Parts: sequence; structure tokens; C-alpha cells
Amino acid sequence: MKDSKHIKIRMSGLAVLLAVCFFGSFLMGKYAIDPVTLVKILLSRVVELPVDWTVQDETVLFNVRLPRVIMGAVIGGGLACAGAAYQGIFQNPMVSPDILGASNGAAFGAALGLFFSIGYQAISVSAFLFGIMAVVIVLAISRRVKFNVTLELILAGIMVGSIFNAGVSYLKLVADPTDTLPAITYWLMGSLASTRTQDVFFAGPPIIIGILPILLLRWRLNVLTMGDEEARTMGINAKVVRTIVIGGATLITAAAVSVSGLIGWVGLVIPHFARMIVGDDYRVMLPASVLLGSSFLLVVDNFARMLATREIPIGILTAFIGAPFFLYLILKEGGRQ
Amino acid sequence: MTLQVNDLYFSYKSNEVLNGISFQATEGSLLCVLGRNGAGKSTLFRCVLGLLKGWRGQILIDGVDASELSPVQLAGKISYIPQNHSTAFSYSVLDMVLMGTTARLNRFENPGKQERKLAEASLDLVNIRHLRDRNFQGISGGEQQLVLIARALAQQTRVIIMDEPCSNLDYGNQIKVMKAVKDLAKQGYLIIQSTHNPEHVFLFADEVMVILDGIIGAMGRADEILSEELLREIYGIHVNLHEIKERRLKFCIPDQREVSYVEAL
Repeated sequence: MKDSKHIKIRMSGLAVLLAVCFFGSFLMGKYAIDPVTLVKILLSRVVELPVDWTVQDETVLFNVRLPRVIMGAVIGGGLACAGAAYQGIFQNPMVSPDILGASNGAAFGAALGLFFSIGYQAISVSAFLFGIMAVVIVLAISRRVKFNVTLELILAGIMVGSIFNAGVSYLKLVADPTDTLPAITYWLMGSLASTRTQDVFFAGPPIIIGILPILLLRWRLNVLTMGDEEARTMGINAKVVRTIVIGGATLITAAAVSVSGLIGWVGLVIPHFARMIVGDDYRVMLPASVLLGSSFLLVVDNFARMLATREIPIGILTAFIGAPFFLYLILKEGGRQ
Repeated sequence: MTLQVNDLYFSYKSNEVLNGISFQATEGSLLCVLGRNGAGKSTLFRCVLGLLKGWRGQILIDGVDASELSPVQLAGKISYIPQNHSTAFSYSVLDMVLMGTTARLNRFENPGKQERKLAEASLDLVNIRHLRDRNFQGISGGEQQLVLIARALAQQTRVIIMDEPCSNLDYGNQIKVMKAVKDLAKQGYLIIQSTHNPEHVFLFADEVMVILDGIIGAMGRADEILSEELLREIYGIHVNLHEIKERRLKFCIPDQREVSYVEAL
């Protein structure tokens, strides 16, 4: 058990880490901007400064890097938050935010949009709506079940998820292999490279609206990990809390996938990492997950654009980093017992 | 505080579990519920706790119909101590006890200073304040059960329902937990607990209720109603009752002439 003063220090540490990652990410990329210029350009929006930077500096900063950095931070924090919340309501630390089919649905929506070439913004809308639809179907199925609701939800989620997966595969099969197929394939790999300002305005609000209720309910998530019935005897309507959390997490996941494609492992691994640092109590673990998830995705995205001559899809990198890290956590847990 | 159950019926699909249970219990008493596996003890508890829907009959808490109470209102009247179980995540002892204060909080509120004081006072009541900052999963089974009792106390209800609190505990911890429970009954709580151990009933119970196939077979003081015949009817084995005169205490042991349950090789 870590005492509260200890935890405060660690939380401040995580906040500082995020601030460093956030500002550091502006500097990194093919087009380097030095820190002094960065500060000057940012300040110039507030106060009058003599312009000693190029127009290109300013364009790269505001039109390319700013939306990308904000999107990375919001998506990373959101996915970690959704994952941590799902692990609580399903009383299972192995659960990730796509367990109820939100990302499979969103992927199908995007693939459909790409297949019919309905345009950049419309593809995001389609992905978002299909992501939400997948979870609504899962909830509708699970409503008919009286016993062991959480297990039924997970089973229904896997079922609905694989149907949408099959849909994506079919679209790939019939897609034009010269342009549509690669577009779908790259899109599904997950990337922040093409993030524009309009994406931030499209996906940012639903993700933040999704995070808020989950953060506010974080004490109740603690109680809910005792199981539905026990939680109810302590005055919690498990069904209501779970539905709110699922709603929030679905907004987050569908919105994230709709602009960045599939970015896996963040929602599964980051909550575990947060638990290692601040313990299992959702009152601190949930905010810690958000901070850590944002930092993590920013760092990984920096690697995605710096590591090779061409961009590496970030979904590949999160898997490369996330999977071994998860294995490390399991081995470490196993060694402790 | 009075708990009154009138003509309670419940069935899972076509399987009748409760066939008209009626009883009344008042505070300041430890009521033990005996019955074989599947007799309906847990089902009765879950009906009273509002965890099961579709029962027929009446459950009155101080004259108020329990079916008209919201989960928060019900949690203010009856608390529940489950069988000791493992959790997916580990919390400190204090946080576990704090969970009992949840019904006092608004939906989006975290426990504050007042709740923490309440939780610490509850730890004091069962003499485990020294465990306050320990990890719940790192303490012994008996200590965990005491923490769950403290959690129920932090919920500040007069009625506490316990489902086999002593299963999985070693002998010493069983007695410690039972003594703590008995003390709480003396302080004015109504404690209703199911048990599979007739010894505990003779030693600690103020009253015993015997459930046989969904109906109340007998209810009253343990040394008055628990007979060899009744115990045989509950458990399906022959039992001998003995009495230690100087302690005015009854106890039972299995009959030695009992036929073997294992075929001779």
C-alpha cells in the first residue's frame, strides 16, 4: 500500500511527463523546429513578437504538428481510460476497449466508406456510427440475458466483432487491388500521419465527452469490481453504472478509430502500467491511466514518424511495444507470487 | 429495527425454491439459518437483499415494503457480508471499508473526510485498526472476513446479512469471527447468518431458523428446538446430541454406528 503523499508525488510526475512529451512532440519530425522558435511562434499568437521564423515553420507547427500532437494525446488518454474502465466493470484485467466490438464496427464502417470512396470526412462519420452500432447490437443481445450479464456481454461482443471483421475481409476481397485494397489495408493499420485540424474537431469532443463520466464514476468502479450483487447491496445500481461506462468507452473507441484507424494495445497495457505506479484504486489509477496513455501514444507517434524514412503505421508500433511489455508484466506478476 | 417476511415464494423457472417463508426478527439478536445445500438459504437472503426479482409475498423492514425501496435506500437498511472471495484488483483495507459508505455519496462523489472517519471507527469496532493500510489480499482469511464486517458496519445499517462467513476459515479464525459477530448482536444489531456448523449455532446463536426444502422447519432457541431428529432431517445423517452440564452447552457428534458410505473393497 502506497501512502497518499507518495501517490501525489507520482501523479505529479506523470503530469510532468505528459507536459514534456506534449511539447517535445512539437519539435520532432522530418521538419525540425528548434525549441526557441517553437516558444516564439506559440507566444506570437498571444503577444506581438518580431517575426524571425519562416512561414513554413508556422505552417508545419499549426497545420501539421499541432493537430497531430493533440489528437495523439487525446486518443492515447481516451483509449487507456476506456480500457481501465472496462477492466473494472468486467472484473477482468485482461479486457481491452474493443471487447464489445466498437473497433471492429468502426473498422467496417471505414472500410465501407473507403470502398465506396465517399470522401475523407464521410469515412470518419461512417466509422464512428458503425462503431457505436456494433456496441448497441451487443447491448441489445445482452439485454435478453438474465444471468451472468458480464459474460454474456463479452460473448456477444466477440460474436458481433467477428461478424464485422468478416465484413471487412469481404470488402478487402472485392476491393480494387490497385487502389482501394491498399487504402483499406493502410487505414486499418492505424496512423496519425494524416491527422488534420478537422479530425481534432470531429473526434476530440466525443472522446472527451466519453472520458468525463468515466472519471466522475471512478469511485463506483472500485465498488463494482466486487461484483454486481455485492455492489448493489452497497447501494450501487450496477446496470446503470455499467451502461454509462460502456456508453463513454464506446464514444471514445469509435471516435478514436474513426480518425486514426486501429491502434491496439494502449487500452490493455497502459492501465496495467498505471496500476504498477499508483496501485489499483480507481480514484487515482484512472487519472494516471489517462496521463500515461497520452504520453505513451505521443512518444510512440514520434517514433512512427522518425524511425524510418517513411512513416510507420502507429498501430504496428504499439503492438510491437505493447505485446512484449504485457508479457513482461505477466512474468513480473508471476514472479512476485 | 424489525425484519418481517410474510409468505415468501420464489422459483427459478419451474423449480420452486421458497414455498411460503414467514418469520420475524428484531434487532439485538444473532439469528442463524441452518439448512442443507440447496434448501433455499441463499435464495431467501438474495430476496431480502433485493438481488432477486419475481418473488411473491411480502418483505417488510420496519413496516416499509422492501420492494418499494431503491438500491440506495435498501443499502441504508440492510448490509451484506459475502463469503470471502478473491477480487481481480487489490485495495487497501481502508479502501475496502470505505466502499461501505458508498450509499451515503452522490453518484459522482468520492468518499471524503467524514467517510474516512466512519471507516476508521468501523475498523475500531472490530479491533483491526492496525490493518488500516495493509493490502486486503495480503492479510489472512480471518482478517479479511473482519474487514468485510467492518465494511458492513461502515454502511451503518441495523440489519446485517452474512452468507456462511466462516467457510474457508481455520478453526481459530472461525471462533474469532463468530465472537465478533456475537458482540455486534449484543450491541443491538440484527445479524442473520447462514451456517453449516451446528456447533456455532449452539455456541453463539440467540435464535436458529431451520429451512427444509423451502419452508421453515422450525425456529426458536437452539437448545430448545435442535434435536437429534431435526438434525437428521436437515442433514440426512444420524447425529448424537450431548450436553456439558457445567457450561449448560449442547454439542453434537455424528453417530458412530452409522453405516459406511464407502463400499468395502
